[in-house]
Amino acid sequence: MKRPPVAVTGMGLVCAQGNSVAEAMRNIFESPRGPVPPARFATPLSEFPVFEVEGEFVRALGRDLPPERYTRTVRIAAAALEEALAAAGLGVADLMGRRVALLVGTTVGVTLSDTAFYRAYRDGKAPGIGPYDSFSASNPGLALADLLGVPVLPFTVVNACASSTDAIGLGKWLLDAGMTDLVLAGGADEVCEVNHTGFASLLIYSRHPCSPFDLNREGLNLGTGAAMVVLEREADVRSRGGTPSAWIAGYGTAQDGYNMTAPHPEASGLRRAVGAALEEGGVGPEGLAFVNAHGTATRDNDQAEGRLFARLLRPGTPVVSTKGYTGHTLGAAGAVEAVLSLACLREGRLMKSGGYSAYDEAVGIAPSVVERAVEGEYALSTSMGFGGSNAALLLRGGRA
Amino acid sequence: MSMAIRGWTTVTAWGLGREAFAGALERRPPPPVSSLEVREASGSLSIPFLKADLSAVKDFFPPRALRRVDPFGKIALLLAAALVKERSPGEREALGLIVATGFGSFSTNMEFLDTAFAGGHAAASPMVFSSTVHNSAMAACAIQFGIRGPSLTLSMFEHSVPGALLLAQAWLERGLCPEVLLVASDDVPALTAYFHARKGEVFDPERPETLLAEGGAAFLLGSGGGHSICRSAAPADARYGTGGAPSHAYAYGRTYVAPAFELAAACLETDQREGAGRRIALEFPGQPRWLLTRSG
Repeated sequence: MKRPPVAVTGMGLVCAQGNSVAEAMRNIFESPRGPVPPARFATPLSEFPVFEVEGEFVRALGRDLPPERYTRTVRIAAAALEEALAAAGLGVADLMGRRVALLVGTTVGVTLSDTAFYRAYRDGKAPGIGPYDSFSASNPGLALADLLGVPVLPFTVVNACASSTDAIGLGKWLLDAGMTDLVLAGGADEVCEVNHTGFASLLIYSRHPCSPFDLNREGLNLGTGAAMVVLEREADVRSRGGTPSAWIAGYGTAQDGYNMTAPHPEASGLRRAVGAALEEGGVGPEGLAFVNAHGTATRDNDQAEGRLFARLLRPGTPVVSTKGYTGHTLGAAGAVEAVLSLACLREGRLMKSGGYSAYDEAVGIAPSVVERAVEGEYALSTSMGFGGSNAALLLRGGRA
Repeated sequence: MSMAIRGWTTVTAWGLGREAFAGALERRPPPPVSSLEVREASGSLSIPFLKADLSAVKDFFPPRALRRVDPFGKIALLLAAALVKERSPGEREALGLIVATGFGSFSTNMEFLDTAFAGGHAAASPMVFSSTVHNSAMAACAIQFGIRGPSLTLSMFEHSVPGALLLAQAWLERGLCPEVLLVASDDVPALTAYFHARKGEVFDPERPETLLAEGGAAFLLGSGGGHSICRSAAPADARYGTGGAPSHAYAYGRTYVAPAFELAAACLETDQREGAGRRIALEFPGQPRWLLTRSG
């Protein structure tokens, strides 16, 4: 059933291409940064490059963010939220007295990733419990709520790599249902020794810059990233004199119920999620200006997703994966990609999909390899996660 | 809008189901205390805790089906099985699924690091890593029971269950699914016990409310009569909850999914009262107040 869109009144982004939406877009189009050997943690697996973020992020939202208390995941999320609120013309004081929901998607953000602490515990060295205190203080949804210092309804969504797509979509639904008046939603995750080791163990980790949808793709690169958006009902924006120029027009979510790590070969869950998002926005596949795919560059993901898009999309619809610029930011990926997609709609230009050179018959699509003007006002952003989670956002925007 | 609670169950150290829970609530049998070994400089320290009695899993699943499922997932699977095993495949396929957890796959994350430390990073276990995602229990339920509707895991300590109730209501109001299976599940990671022990907290085997506890509760939410729950500030006959409201932690122990047990206790209490209209308020810090009523 078609539902009204909700307005996106502010966006914030921290990723390997920059620490704001504007900086990231400029670097993507002018001088994109590539993955580098991991430098923020010690690992014998240095042959797998990662997309890292520059900076320490020790202050945001008017608060000090000591690294011994807040994980990097929380600190970059706070920076992204600060940018999103500023873009929306909102200060923290403006949230007082409003029913605000805060939804943050993550994976690493809810785990204890201090390997030195755990190794010391395991070796019977009885380490101090500071790292556990940091873990307790750094649940992303709760930590951001605490840092804002105003009453908000917090949610930490942990749907693997679909987490922040779900966070944004659920935020839309809470607004639709009248359960809240303003939504702050997005995701954050960081590359750390644990997930770096884990993806290497799965043999889906690339030693080179990733190449989504390419015949010779070797796997993913991990990335650190955070993105947040401010969502409001359009009528509320207009009542305070604003004019929305970006919207979440639809959201869909569905479960594969198939396998813990592999997607359904025919992308069964994603097909239903995309269908629901398009239906909610009242838009057919032919109305899409482009698709920002999950596109991890793993063999299974790209094949399942590519087959779906080959069947679903109008021929010639540009498909990109921005993971060649950000890496796979796991629980943050959906929000990072939604923000980049909305920025593309606003700027009227679409980046090329990085790393692609050879068509894979099994995938069935070739991503867009040239920069191009955006023709249309709707874009689709998709996510697929471990555990069979699938989600899609229908985004709408136009030239500012 | 109210949500009907079409079914519910719990699993604790006292066992699976409402009879076991009622026994713990009313007759207070001696708590079945287990012990958890945590590492200390002087060797290991034995900490009393409440281990969930999962013996009933054999009634629902062949051992092979659970080979790769961690305790967090087994608790969730057992609860889900007790509520939806008898449903038709079509009914199960249409279900929405929300897992609410305080710790999620925390224990499995540590187990994964054990494999990396023991054999070197290059020998870390991919099998264990694949279950470190916090939605692993949700995925296990979806795969086992053929659930294809919307699915979600929330992990935000004591806020997970109240948040799950709110999102379940949003899904039902939107017509996304005819029913939502809400499963609250947590195990007790050894590192958590170490943390509490280092803080000097007391674990008294005679007082279950002081003991870290595994377990959970599940609810099948939809429309209809019987128990119904809604967000409301209306007057109530009793208050249950956490963080100041009267709690029944003596019947389930210390756990971040306590709000699910309080809701189960409220269901049980309203079932045992004569007549309709008894209302119990459920209060959890920083969350909307819920009101449970029983009709018919």
